[in-house]
Amino acid sequence: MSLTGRIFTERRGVVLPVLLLLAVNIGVLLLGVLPMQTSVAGLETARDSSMLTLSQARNIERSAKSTLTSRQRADVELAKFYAEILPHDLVTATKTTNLWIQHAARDAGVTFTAAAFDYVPLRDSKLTRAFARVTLSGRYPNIKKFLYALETAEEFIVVEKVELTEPGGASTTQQGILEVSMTVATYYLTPPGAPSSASARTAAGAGVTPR
Amino acid sequence: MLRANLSTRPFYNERLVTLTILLVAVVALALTAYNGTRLIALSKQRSELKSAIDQNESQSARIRVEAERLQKSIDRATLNVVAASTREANQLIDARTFSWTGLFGHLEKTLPYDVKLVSVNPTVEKGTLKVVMIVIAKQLDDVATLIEALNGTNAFLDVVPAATDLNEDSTYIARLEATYFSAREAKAAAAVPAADVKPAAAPPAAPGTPPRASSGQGGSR
Repeated sequence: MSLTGRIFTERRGVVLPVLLLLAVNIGVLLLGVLPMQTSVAGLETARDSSMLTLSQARNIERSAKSTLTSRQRADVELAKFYAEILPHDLVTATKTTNLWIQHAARDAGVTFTAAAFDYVPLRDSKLTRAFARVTLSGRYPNIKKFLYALETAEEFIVVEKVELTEPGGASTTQQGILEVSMTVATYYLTPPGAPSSASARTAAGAGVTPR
Repeated sequence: MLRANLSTRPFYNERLVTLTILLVAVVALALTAYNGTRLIALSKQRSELKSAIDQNESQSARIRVEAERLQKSIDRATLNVVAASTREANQLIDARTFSWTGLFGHLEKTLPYDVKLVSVNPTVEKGTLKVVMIVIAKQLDDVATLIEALNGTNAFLDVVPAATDLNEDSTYIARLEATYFSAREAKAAAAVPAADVKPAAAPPAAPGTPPRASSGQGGSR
């Protein structure tokens, strides 16, 4: 019998349980612990993925809520803009583009020469653009004063274009007088069922208002 | 000399054998402890992860349902109309707050003596304020001087002569296009005109000098 065999035989009572315990543990490690580690790693990936999905869902919800809130706020702001800032109707718009401007011109020391008024519902819009081509004459400082009055007015008036001319053959008394043609516009909410621009113009009799 | 061991049960190093068995036993016990703790920890971790995954999935499903409900409550067509109306309103407000006195203030400072301003037309294009100016000049150099002066201000950018034509009276009519972006400076300047436009003001030096207007020969566009 070899020495190893003899040692095993002599100490079987101790060696056998120890070897058995070792074998069982190696078995548990290979068949239990390591597969479970792999399973846990897979579950961690699945958890990260589910967290990403949750985060995406939250973003979608936040975006939807934000859109809804923005829309509601825009509705309120637009309603306020249409009702409180813009003229209410054609009559008010006409007063703004004609009467108010005449008064402002007078106050600024500018002569109101002529005005041509018209209005047209804007395409793909709820608004109608009421505009006037106004001709004024006066000295430059007064014209600037008039423009400043338009800028600081409470009325919603947009000066769209300004043309300056020095009248030809001006006499000595007229020197320094400029003629200003400007397009001013305001906007109002188009009433439901309002007629088209052309027919509306005819009905309202809008046109040139020479002074 | 005798080489063979004639003993039937020769001695061996018992201490070494005992130590080896002890070492193996310690390794086996350590492995047992490791396996035990790992199994407990991994089981706990696995159940926690499963629970978290279930929770996340149910929560995302609930949130998605809620988000879908919200999105369905938003009518896309109406939303587009509101967006367009808002854009339009913002453009109108931009146009309304445009400072003409501020613009004229800049022109007063930059317009050469022999250049007359015929028309000014600002428009908002893609959120940028474009200004189109028609000027009449005696010399082409005057137009170039004006362009240089406008480019030199902080208010105008990329001033270009879009078109230049010779008039019958040998003057030049030029259409200048520029980006005008000094809304704030213009607003600041707009606060000044009250002082600027005092009717009794004496003919001012350069800054207060009005832009010279054309005598009518090129006023139409």
